[in-house]
Amino acid sequence: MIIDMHAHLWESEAGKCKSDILGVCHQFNVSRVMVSSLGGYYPDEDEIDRMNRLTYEFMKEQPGLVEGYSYLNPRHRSAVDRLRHCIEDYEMCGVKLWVATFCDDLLVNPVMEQAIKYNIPVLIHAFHKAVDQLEFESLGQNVANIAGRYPEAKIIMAHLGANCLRELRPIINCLNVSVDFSGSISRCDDVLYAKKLLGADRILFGSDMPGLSFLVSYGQILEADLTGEERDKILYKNTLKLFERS
Amino acid sequence: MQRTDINCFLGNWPFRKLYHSSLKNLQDVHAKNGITCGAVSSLNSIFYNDPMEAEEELYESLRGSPYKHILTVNPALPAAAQNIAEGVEKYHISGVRIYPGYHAFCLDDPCMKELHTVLAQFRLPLYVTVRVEDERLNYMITPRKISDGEVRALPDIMPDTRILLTGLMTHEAIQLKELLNGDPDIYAETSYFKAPTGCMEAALESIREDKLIFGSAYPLLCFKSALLQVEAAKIAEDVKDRILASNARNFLSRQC
Repeated sequence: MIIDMHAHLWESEAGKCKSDILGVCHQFNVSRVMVSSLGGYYPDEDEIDRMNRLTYEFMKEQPGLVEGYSYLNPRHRSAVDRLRHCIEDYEMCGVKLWVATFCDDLLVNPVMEQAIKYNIPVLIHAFHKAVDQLEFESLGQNVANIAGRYPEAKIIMAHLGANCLRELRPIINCLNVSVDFSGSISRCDDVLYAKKLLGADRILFGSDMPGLSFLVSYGQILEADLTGEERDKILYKNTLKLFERS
Repeated sequence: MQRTDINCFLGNWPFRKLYHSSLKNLQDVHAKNGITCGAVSSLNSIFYNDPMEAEEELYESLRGSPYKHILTVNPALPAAAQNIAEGVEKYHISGVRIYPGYHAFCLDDPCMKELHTVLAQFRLPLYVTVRVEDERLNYMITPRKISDGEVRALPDIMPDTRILLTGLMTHEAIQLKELLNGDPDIYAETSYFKAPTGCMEAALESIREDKLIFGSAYPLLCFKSALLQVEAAKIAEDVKDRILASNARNFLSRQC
């Protein structure tokens, strides 16, 4: 079984994104895919609404296959109301935070507190770049800060922070933080390194498709030196457990 | 069909520990995935001031194996031509590799003329390394970015030399489609074809199927991720065979 817990619809080409995602799910027997919709880096409230509606429509079109994240900009006073709408009306499964604020900005607190009440995970984009770092792009230390502030929160640090050699150590002791290795960084040993530092129980399978090829992450999980049980945990069991709300 | 990995390495990478850097690791991952041949470069050679010390190590490692030895040179060093001659004689090299990003020379620098002369003398192909590490992961060193214009000028600088561009991302290769399709001697390697979904199919819409050659950049990059881009692509089986096998054979064995 495979659950891809990190995929996107890009507003500018949502139809193609849907088609690509469904094609991959069919070709590789992906049982469930968790999607958020994204547009610009600093979305206004209208854009947030459009993105969440887009995700919701995809969920309705593909029930049982597609689940959705509530994408939020914590700068908006309406962020918590929008989260309620996404969870209670759209039946989404988690929160997606991208690059509008650092994830440990105090503006994020109300969102985190509401996510804790719902017992849903918060997927945080974290990506260190040696070149072209965005102004509010979170790093491992930002994730560690918010995880320490809310130890009862369920947090996912996306992309292993891009450079896992730099970004994983800050979250080692944050046991409420899981990671995914989605994205374009496909260094040979990154999954093995993440397992060494965090253990297989804290690693989730995600691809960042369709902007990135699903095959990048899929190849990494097939190649990594893992036991069958560890591979199953990463491919789906950890995700099922983390997203369990009861 | 002898499936070939045109771009793999032995040695150390100074910025991180490699967990799979031995010849046995390389042989195992290749055998497991049906690869029977490979062209190997030394990572140590990039960083040694006398790269021939690393080439000697590589030769000893590869001796008796089916792998082909690709000699790394810094053409800005005084003995580059001599190193190539020695590589031909002692190490039976199958090609020469340059790293203009790490060694900070430009592809139109005068040292490239001398390199062209010696490559022509020995009828050797040239690997031009556009990228080794994703630049977002740079640590301590910032390799010079190779411009599109430099690459486009290669046929004038190196006429009649077979050239493999390694480390191009999909969109970068597509941007060079006129060069790749128009010049019979220029090829592109596929290890950095990672985006978007369907990137191999997209590349083949623009680039001739005889100009793409499978490479993994293992053990720096995940081997399986690179191989799946070809194996799982929705393209004809004979096109896969070309990318995985016959194009590499043509590149490495066809003499100028």
